[in-house]
Amino acid sequence: MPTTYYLVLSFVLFLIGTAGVLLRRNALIALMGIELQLNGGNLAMLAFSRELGDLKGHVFAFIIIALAAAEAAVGLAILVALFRGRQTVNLDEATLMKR
Amino acid sequence: MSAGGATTVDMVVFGVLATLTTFFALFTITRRNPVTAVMSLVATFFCLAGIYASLSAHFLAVIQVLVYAGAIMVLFIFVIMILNREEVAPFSLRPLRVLGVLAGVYLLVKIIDVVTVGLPEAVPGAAPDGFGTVAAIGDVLFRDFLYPFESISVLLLVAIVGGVVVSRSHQKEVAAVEAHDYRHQIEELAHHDYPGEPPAPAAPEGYH
Amino acid sequence: MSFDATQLFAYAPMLILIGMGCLILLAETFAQGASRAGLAWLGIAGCVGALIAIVAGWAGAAEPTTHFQGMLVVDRMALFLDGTFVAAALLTLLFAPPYLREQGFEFGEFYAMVLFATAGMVMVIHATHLVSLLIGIETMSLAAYVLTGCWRRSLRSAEGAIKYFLMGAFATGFLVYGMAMVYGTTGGELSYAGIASKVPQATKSPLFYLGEYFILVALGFKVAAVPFHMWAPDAYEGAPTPVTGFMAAGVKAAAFGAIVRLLGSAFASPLLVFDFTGWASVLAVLAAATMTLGNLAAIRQDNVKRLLAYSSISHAGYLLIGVVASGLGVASAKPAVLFYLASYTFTTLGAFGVVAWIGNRSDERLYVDDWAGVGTARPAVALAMTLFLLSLGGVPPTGGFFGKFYLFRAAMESPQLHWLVVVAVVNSMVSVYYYLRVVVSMYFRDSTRALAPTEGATMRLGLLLTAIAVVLLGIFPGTVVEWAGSIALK
Repeated sequence: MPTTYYLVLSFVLFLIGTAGVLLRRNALIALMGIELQLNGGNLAMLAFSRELGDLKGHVFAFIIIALAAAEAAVGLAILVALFRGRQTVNLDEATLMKR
Repeated sequence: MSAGGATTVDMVVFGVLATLTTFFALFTITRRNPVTAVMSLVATFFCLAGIYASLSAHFLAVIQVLVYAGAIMVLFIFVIMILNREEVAPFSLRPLRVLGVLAGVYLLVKIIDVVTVGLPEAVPGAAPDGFGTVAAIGDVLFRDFLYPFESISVLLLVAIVGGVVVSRSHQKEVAAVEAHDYRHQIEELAHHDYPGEPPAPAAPEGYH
Repeated sequence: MSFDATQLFAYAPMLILIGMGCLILLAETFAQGASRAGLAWLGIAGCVGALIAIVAGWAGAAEPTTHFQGMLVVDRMALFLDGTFVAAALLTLLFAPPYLREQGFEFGEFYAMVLFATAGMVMVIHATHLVSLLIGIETMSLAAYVLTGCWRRSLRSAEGAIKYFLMGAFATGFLVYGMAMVYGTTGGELSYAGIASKVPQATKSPLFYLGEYFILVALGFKVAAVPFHMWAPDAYEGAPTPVTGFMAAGVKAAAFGAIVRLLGSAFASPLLVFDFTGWASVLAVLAAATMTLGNLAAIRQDNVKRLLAYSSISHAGYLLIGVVASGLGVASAKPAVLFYLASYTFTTLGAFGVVAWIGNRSDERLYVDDWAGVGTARPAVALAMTLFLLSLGGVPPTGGFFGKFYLFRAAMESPQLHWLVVVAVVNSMVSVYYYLRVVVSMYFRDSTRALAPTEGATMRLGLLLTAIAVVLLGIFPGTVVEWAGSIALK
């Protein structure tokens, strides 16, 4: 398959992830949006890697998966902490500090 | 894979996987119920693993299923079990954010335009021998990428310890602070003179 | 390739920080009650050790040397900023123990996290490869999210942490996607030098610009430059106050270091700097927007912590001027940025240190009105706070004044930037107004209720050290600029 197809798909994934972070109120779904963004990046990396016949992209994608796991762990822990105090993960309700 | 152009089979496989990926990704961010969302995310990751395999990235495809669809998603499901709540109004349609997403869509159109014109429509040639295998990736990872491999251990340590620090219950601390206050009050009381009573014994250790 | 153990010696500061962090985590399991205070001293010892290692490595770093297949570089710029980060960590570890004890959440992991975050900053500033940059940024950021959210009794802490985390992770998404684009369009280059060598052919594809700007957007989030600043006030207000100082100073300085290095090597080609699509004009506009909006928001704040948060946004704007000037080829701009970062680090840490000092568990005293009467009750601390605020405002005998002076002088050398300097000077004058509001409240108004600050010997020591540093930077700015100036400019 031509690399361009993969690139378009990767950008679509990235965009869906971005939309998820920006438009959803539920912090959990926002976190899923971030995972989609990272996967978009990974897909682009692997597509380029295949085109160039260069394995650096694979290693990069590997590292990003590890990084996504670390990020998800910390993010979910913060979510649990927020939920424990406020009984909500709704970002629009988390407004103790406006103005 | 033929070198000249994509075969029909490739086309069909990619088309199906790409459609499913996009569909499940959209499903993820539009569902009201987080459990449905996370299941769609798992499906997205499985389809992506298939796409990775079609890019000769077999090792990454396995990792994708193991780590992403396996470990990370289990973490998500656990957290959803702790705090499962359905939302009344799931979307936060603030003008600036919608504008941001629209700008992204515009960028997408531009990119499709540019990419389809700018880059050759050709399929990349056959991958080198052993491309995407564990041995080849291990070779790059432990030679050129030795430092990132080592330093990411610090990142993982921070994530492990940090996750525990942030999410563990603070009942113990509250108890400790209360005990401290309590002790303080008793000490203060002990300094007061009560007529007709002997001074209170200073034994704060017994209180919790 | 063979692994050379002497390479490790060059990274002694990083290794000492990480090792000490692990040691604290181990010691934490055995520590109980009062012995927890000893954990902070372990961290302080680690910082002192790292400072010694930096000084020891200074002479050998006159010429930049790269290690680990071009992943990391050791040069004077890196060591200068290393020193700044480690000093920031040291001061944070001095401020934190009394504060944590007062607020009732003292635990060893906090100190370890500070050290890991500092190690992450060191990784960022030494990075000459997109992968090592990414890992450094993530290590630093994850530790910062945790530090923000670790004040479990406070609801604001969790709220600040979730906002900080979501925006930070969002930025990481951009960073990763941008790196993928750069990787593909440069033909498989990830090191800064490799990217720089492939720029002419890479710019044929617009995807390269997309990648470049995505990376800059991500770093813009980290320094809280204007369109990407919305997380900063909440995260800064929600975090435990010593952590706020650490974030506002250290994390921002590290991200600026990364920007300076990235724009100075990988994206230094004239093809990328100038013109309509060049980063110089984009960053110049962002600089003006950042300082103006940061200042305008700060004027309206009555909460001192939030006021300082917005003021730290405006400082990112001043720093961006230096970055732009350096891109336009002004040789004195880079040392000016580094001097500014150093003076800003000490001043900010000091100011947030006083904010941490003034409150106690039941009464945080965060509002400007609450500061009334501090001048008579505690003249020494009031004097220190005045010094920090004047330095932030850029009033002459302080480090902050010389920071702005060098920065604006460097920018004046480039005719395209004169308008920006005018905007910056106007902004500085405006900023003095809101800094002085706090000073006026401290000295010229009578206190409404008794002061019961968080006392602690280490806190007093930390404030003393910061005040001395700010004064010294104001008295001997030339020496420090010389250290910063001996940075090898390629």
